[in-house]
Amino acid sequence: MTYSPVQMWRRQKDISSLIGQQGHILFATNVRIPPSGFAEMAPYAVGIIQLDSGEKMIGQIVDTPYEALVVGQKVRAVPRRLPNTDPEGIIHYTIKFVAA
Amino acid sequence: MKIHVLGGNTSKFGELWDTSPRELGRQTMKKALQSAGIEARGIDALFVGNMLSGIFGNQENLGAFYAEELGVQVPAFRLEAACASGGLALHSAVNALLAGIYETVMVLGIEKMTDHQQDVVSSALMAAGSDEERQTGITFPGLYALLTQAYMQEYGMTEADLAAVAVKNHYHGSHNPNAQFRFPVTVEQVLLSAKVADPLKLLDCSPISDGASAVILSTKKHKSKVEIIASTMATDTLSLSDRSSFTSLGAVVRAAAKAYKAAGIQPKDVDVAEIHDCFSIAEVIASEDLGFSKKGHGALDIASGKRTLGSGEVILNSSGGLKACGHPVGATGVKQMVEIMEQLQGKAGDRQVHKAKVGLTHNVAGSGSQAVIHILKGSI
Repeated sequence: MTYSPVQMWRRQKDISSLIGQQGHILFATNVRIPPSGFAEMAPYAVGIIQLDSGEKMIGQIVDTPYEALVVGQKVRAVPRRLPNTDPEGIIHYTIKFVAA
Repeated sequence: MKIHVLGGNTSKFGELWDTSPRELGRQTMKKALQSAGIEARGIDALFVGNMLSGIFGNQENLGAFYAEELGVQVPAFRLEAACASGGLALHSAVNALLAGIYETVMVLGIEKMTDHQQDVVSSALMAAGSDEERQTGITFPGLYALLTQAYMQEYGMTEADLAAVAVKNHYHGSHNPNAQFRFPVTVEQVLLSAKVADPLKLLDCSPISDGASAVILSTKKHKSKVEIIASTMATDTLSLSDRSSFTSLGAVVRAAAKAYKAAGIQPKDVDVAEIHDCFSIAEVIASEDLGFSKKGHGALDIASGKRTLGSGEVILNSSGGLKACGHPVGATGVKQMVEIMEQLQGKAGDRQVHKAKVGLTHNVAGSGSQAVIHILKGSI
């Protein structure tokens, strides 16, 4: 996945507003066959998260193996690196979730 | 105004490594013309459904590309709605006919996917989702796995119940000479196949496919005696996480309500339906959203044999569906209509649904962001 520096800069605002927000897992899956760029992480858990703010969002759930995750588990939004195929070498960030 | 289906053709689906997109389109359109008994000069406009030609081959401008192969210089359009691109092309063609702009049109659905590696295809298909989804590394099997988890939590469906979808569709596909997979599978084989995105396994997933399908629609009277009595479409949020329900697809419910009303029929009047079973859960949810099964009963009705050829109830995916027939994404919506046309003409061979008079097609984009429904009636 390649983003231009301008796209990346625009996205930073969304990322910073989400850091630290809490929520819980509605349901999750374990992606075993990844798309391009994600092979090093696979398998990885992705879930639909109900944030305490009321918003729902999709996110990778890290630092806990998929098998140990449970529905309703409390999670917290953290900034994490995205796989980077950008020839300019800019580090890309996204929001992921860890157990709260 | 009546919309007649004059004829159509579907290519073999599968790994067509020795066939170029040009040749695949040309051959399929030629056979569709033969099926309708008309010449290319009788076509007033061309509608092409395709999703990935720009991402894979840097080839856009498909209207001109395939008009050239058809040998016509008429208005030509490329329509894109991810996996519902074929359905969108049909819906657009029907609208143009109803507006009285053209009398006879060709609709081509086409996709060439197997020239590329699996991870590249998985990544390209995520163009149908949102940027938020792409950043998580989710795939389409992953998004439908999330729907499966939600459905299992709500209704207690088991993985074995769900496996019945692939078993039925492989059985139907074994009777379809154009199907990518012409062999049956068992519940045990489905359950033992490799996990792709928990709980979905390889045999819960439609394959990566090449293929094309074309139909000719006209407002002129014709001997084919198959007509389109409803063509509807609805949308929902692009991202799965923004939906109001995870056990039903709102776009399908809305498009189906409009379609049944336009056709003046009830779900129980449908004899045969082609369902967008990109993943087995999609057919379960669709069979409920379309009103064939009660909520929570979709998988059980499939497992009990009610949706299998010969049951006497509504038959789902006589072609083998996306699972066994294959899923060249832009072609699928058009292939569904060709299958229903053959059923209503009584020309479906070993797959023939006895006395089929009313058929329905259900084509879905992404994780449910768009849905296109067509209802057809035969009078043989």
